[in-house]
Amino acid sequence: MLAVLKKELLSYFNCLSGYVFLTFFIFISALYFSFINIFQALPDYQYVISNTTIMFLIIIPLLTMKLYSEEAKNKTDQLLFTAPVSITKITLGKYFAAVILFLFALILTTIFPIVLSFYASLPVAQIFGTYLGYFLLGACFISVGIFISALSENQIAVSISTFAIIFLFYVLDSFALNLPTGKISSAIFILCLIILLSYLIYNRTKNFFVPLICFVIGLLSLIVAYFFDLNIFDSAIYKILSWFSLLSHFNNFGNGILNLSDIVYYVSFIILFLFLTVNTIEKRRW
Amino acid sequence: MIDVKNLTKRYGKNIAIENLNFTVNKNEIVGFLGPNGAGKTTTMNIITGYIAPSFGDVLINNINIIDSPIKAKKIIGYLPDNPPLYPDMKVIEYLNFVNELKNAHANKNQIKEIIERLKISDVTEKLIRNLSKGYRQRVGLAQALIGNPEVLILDEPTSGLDPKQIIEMRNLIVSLKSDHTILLSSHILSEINAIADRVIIINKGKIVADNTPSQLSKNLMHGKKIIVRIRGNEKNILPNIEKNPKFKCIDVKKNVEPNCIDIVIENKNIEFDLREQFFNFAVENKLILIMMKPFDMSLEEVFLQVTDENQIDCEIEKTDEEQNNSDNQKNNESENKEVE
Repeated sequence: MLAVLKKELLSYFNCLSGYVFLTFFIFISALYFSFINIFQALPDYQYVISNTTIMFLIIIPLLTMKLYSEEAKNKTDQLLFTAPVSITKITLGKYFAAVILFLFALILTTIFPIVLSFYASLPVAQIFGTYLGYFLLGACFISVGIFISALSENQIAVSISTFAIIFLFYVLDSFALNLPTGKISSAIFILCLIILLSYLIYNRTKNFFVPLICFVIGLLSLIVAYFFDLNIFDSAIYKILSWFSLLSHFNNFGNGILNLSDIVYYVSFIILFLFLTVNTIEKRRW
Repeated sequence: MIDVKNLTKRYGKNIAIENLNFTVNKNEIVGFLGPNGAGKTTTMNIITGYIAPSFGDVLINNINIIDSPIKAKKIIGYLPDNPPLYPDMKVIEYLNFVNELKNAHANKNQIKEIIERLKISDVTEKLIRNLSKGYRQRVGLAQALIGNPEVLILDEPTSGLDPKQIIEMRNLIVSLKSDHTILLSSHILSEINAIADRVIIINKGKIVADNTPSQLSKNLMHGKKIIVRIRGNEKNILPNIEKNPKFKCIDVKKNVEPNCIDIVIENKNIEFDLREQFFNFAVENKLILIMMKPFDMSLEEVFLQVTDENQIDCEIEKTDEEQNNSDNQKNNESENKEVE
């Protein structure tokens, strides 16, 4: 795992992408710092961090697009997958390389609040919380990026798809607000989700019975819930979609609330996508 | 050392390889031959654990590559048809990375030894993207040798090399034989002939021949043909031979040597040794026999014959009875499958 991690970190700086990423990241952070903290003379550095989440749209594809797709294109995956190392370790090595570079950039930006602290008293808890949330959010998007990178060897397709998916996460909240809140439409939405989930299980396992059982159980629970407690369907679509929203969890950190459930949510999200990545590569071998 | 059992790989409805069975013994060099698309690379990819088979098993030193991939991969060095190189790395960086990746714990001296053995010491500080095809191929092989794996799987190791490098590579592979088991594929038949102890020819995903190069050509000929050089006049010699009911003359070359003719003679009855018969015949007819040798096929001819669609069913006699039995089993199984 360490060998892959070192190699990936080295490769960021062997080609331009590492430098481009750092320059872009620090430049945009500095820009927001100047606007908010210097020109408007606000001590709240956490606004700078919150505002720069928009950068993820650009920097995440930059960090993750080549992780697996370049290996597949150069056929170097043959070296990795025939070496006595498990695919999980290779994936973790690649993932942590991207996360370390991101963390490094983040640490570099701490110079802004440090400088600021000489001139004003800072809301330290909020800044620290925002940094932690920002890091976890970035780490989640990186796990999405590495998953998409394992899907194709075309880097342009991978970077555009990563951009699109991250964009979807951004607009999920406002998108969910405009969806119907009726009980029947909610029930239909949940039914669609059950069908989708059953299909995904079938697609992965090629086994007919497991998804069928899942579907039947899901359908029965839906029917039982519909007839016994109709109220849980109240604006259920919004509730479900906002549960998926990474950004709504981030807002808690910005308010200085360190909620364990948010951290667990982010970590589970990362584990899920890393698992999907390993699974995708394993499946391709068969 | 390498045991391949009933190996089958399917891509949807397409069958890449079907029911392959073969063994590579310790310290043996086995050449893997076949036309393009025959399934050589697929087989090698499965043996090295890069892809998984649809059915069947691969045992490396009695370790199943599917059940214990990490253990099995530790004793395999693989050079794919496209050397897996990172263009942005320097050669030495790359070799160090492979050393760490394989957890091979090779020290600097061991890596240096490999570098010297493959004659790449003058490019170690160069970026791989700037290397010529020949150097890339050698760096690829250096990568396979790191960790001194017992089994080497080399997919066309000499492709892209110039004639001098091909001979060097050939010598290198032969020198590796003493402490490695090698399975290599190649399009260059003379190369396989020169270095392999045994040849496995596959066509359309099935093994069509498995034997030593010399035995292979002999078996295909069934020992039926010899070439003889006789001193004397053609008019006196040929009618005599043609009259004899035991053999027939199929080709005549004149003046290979002054006042001599070369005749290719075929046995009409396979039960008798043609050489003995012809010798007796020559004594009886007072022919001056200057040379007699079996008319062997070159490996090229063997290859073309066994991979030719119409000839696949031609029987290839194997000296090894076990191989014969396993082949029968294999044929029976594939027939059964077709029936199904």
